[in-house]
Amino acid sequence: MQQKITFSEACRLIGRSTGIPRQEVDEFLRSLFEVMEQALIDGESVKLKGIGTFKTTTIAERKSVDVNTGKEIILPAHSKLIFTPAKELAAAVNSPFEAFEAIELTDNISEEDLAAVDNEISETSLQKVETPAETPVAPLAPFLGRENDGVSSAHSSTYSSDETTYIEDDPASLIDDDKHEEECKDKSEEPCNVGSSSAESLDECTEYSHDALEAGEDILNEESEDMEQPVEDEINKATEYINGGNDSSADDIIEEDEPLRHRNNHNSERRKKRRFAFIIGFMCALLLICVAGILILLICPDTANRLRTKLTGPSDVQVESVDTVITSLSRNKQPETKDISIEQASVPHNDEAPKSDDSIAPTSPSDTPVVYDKVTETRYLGTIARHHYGNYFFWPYIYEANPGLGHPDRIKPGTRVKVPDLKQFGIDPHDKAAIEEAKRKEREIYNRYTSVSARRTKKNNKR
Amino acid sequence: MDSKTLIEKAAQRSGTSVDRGRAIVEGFASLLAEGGAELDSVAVPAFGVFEAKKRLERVNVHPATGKRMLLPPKIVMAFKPSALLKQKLKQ
Repeated sequence: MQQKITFSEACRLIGRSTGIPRQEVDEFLRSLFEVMEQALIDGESVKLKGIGTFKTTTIAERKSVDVNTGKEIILPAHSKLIFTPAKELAAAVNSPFEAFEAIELTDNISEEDLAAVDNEISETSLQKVETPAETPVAPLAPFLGRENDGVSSAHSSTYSSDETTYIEDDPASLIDDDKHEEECKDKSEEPCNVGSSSAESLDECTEYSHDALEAGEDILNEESEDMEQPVEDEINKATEYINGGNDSSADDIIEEDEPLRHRNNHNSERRKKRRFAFIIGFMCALLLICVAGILILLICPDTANRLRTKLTGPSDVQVESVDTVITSLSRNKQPETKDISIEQASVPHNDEAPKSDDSIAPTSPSDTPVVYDKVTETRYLGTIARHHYGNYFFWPYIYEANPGLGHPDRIKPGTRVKVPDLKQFGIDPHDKAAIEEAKRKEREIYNRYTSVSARRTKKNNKR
Repeated sequence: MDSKTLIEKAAQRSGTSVDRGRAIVEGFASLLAEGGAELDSVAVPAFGVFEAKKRLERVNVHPATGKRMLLPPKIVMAFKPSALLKQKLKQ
């Protein structure tokens, strides 16, 4: 793709394909081109079968304008070498695009139509075109006459000599025109000095403006329309052609690798594929979100509880009421947490006990006013203990005073817990022994949650 | 100068037979054709470069009928003479 094949590489390839030793190929080709060169210098045209014709023409002196300075310049007379590829070579080189034909554009043609017609293209081919020789010549003459002034006399001469063949093979003739036009473009892109070629091209470009070139081509097209009936039909068929290349940039050749005929198919296919891929991606995303949600619920009952509180409302009320009932009975009835938690879950929200402390207070055995605190995401039992008792380690007493809390580290935020007065138990927060005792209680509580029974408790809690 | 004469002369110069010369020329032509389809260019020293160029599709307007024609893209073989050759031709 877009490789530059060196001469030695070419000789090697030819040697391999013909079986002739590379050295010989090299020598022969060199002498061949030398002979050609000599002939061209002598003013002779050279034709190589299967390759094309090389011809020199003289371009007369001409006035032009220097692009850089804007001054008038005289272009000296000089010779120019023109190469016209042979039919076979031109066709072979264009093989990726051979099925393509020129079509007439109307405003009604939509992409779908073009795409639908795309499939028909492979059937028709311009090579099938038959032509009568006479009519094409005449209309060409004035064009030829004009052309003879300039460089493209090669074109004209080839037309006059090979008119039938050239009109027959539209691609070839179009190639010539294209080449001519392209040469203009190419050369005008070169740095514009007084250099003959560039100025020439400017001249040519102005002389043979787009209109002229198009006229030339269109004359050819016109001729094709003037042709006999079968040809016309052919051309009418040929007028349907895909235009998938509207977005093609003029600069980059390599972009347009794929033949256009496949492009639209690919486009529609790509669209479908894109949609499909999008749907799949969307489903995957949904799946992932669901899986993540489930994982979160499983791993973090804290967050789950949080969600539950938000959804279910003030269930903490139940905790309260149940708590006070239990505390009134006995303090250390831990096994009952199981039942309580079940109860909690099953009991409906509203009724039972009102929120106020008053109804609860009378049941509490202590004389001192009951202290309540709320567990939040940042304020655990330990923090509460520190706040009320001055020592973090006494939280187990709070814990024990509030059965049904579940795992001490995973108490629902917003849970209102009773903070018992340590003096009740006869505990001095600053006493080392008391601290040890509290720590022991802590261990005991945690132990509960590592045993199998704890797992069961957890399960029940979830229910 | 036509093909036959050319090949004869070249064969004479290089000491190859005409048949082999013809085969070589054919091989060269096919090399150009295949390379051209791939947009490759072949360089010949002191002569020039055979380049394959891609022409993008164009919309032309038929001056008489005013119809717009869409010309398909194509690949063409072009020849660029080397500076040396151009120099020689100038003289």
